[in-house]
Amino acid sequence: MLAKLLHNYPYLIAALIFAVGCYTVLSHSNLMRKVIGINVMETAVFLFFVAAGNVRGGRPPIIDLQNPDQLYVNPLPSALVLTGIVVGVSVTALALALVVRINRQFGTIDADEIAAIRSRENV
Amino acid sequence: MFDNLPVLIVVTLLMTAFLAPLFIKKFRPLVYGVANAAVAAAACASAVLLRYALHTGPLYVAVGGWEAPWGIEVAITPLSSFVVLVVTSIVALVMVSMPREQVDWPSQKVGWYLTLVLLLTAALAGMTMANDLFNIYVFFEVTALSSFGIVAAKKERNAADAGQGGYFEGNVDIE
Repeated sequence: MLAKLLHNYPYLIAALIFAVGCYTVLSHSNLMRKVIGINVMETAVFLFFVAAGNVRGGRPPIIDLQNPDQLYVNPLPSALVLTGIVVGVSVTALALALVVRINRQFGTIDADEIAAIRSRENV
Repeated sequence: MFDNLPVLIVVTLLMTAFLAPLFIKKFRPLVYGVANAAVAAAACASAVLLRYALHTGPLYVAVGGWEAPWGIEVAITPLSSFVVLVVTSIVALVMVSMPREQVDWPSQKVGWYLTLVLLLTAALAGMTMANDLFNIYVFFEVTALSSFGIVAAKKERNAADAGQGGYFEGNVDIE
């Protein structure tokens, strides 16, 4: 069991990084730290995808026409991850813009303080 | 005969979305009109596609001549064209009443708001017609981002907070 787990260590590391990101999002009330936590989770998912597409001993997926019968790495997850990285950057930009707006409106970027301000306003 | 129509729906809406903030300062009524026309044209096109799909059968377009496992494929079935028709006609109704709501908004903000609405429409239409997971994922992200932007557009404290909440909860399940 343990040997199998260690043999597939990229998945283990991806799960660990995802847990770290999830913990960051849930345990901090500072919105900037939450954004960083989401980025860490994203990285874990990308690592998981790339690891799932990897073939041990495989060559880069550029087909050599002289001898095409070789072991190649699966290119599809890498292509998806490439798009995912681009999307992740734009998502982070949107999140930072929202944080700036919240700071302008509430004067703070702490989720607990914002909740306190809102509950005082709505009473 | 209608091979390019599904792609044209998405492309027209996208182009209008990116041109709206450029021209809004000088030609505000014209930009409203062009945006209205783009959405109405998309609704008409999807009605045509619905008629075609009902009478002639489903239409599968390989974009750029690349067949399905390699390229992008667009599927026009009666159901997908019907959903696109519903989405675009609802947005067309929204666009008609939009200028009255935004009378006291500054022009630049109206431009970016139009961008968000048109992007949302294009992404919803594209997501409905796409026939591969890759495009569904991309259009889903565009839908999510533009809807968070629309939620946070109002100049109120609660709007910004709601946008942030939607971002964190929505993003976790996208990942």
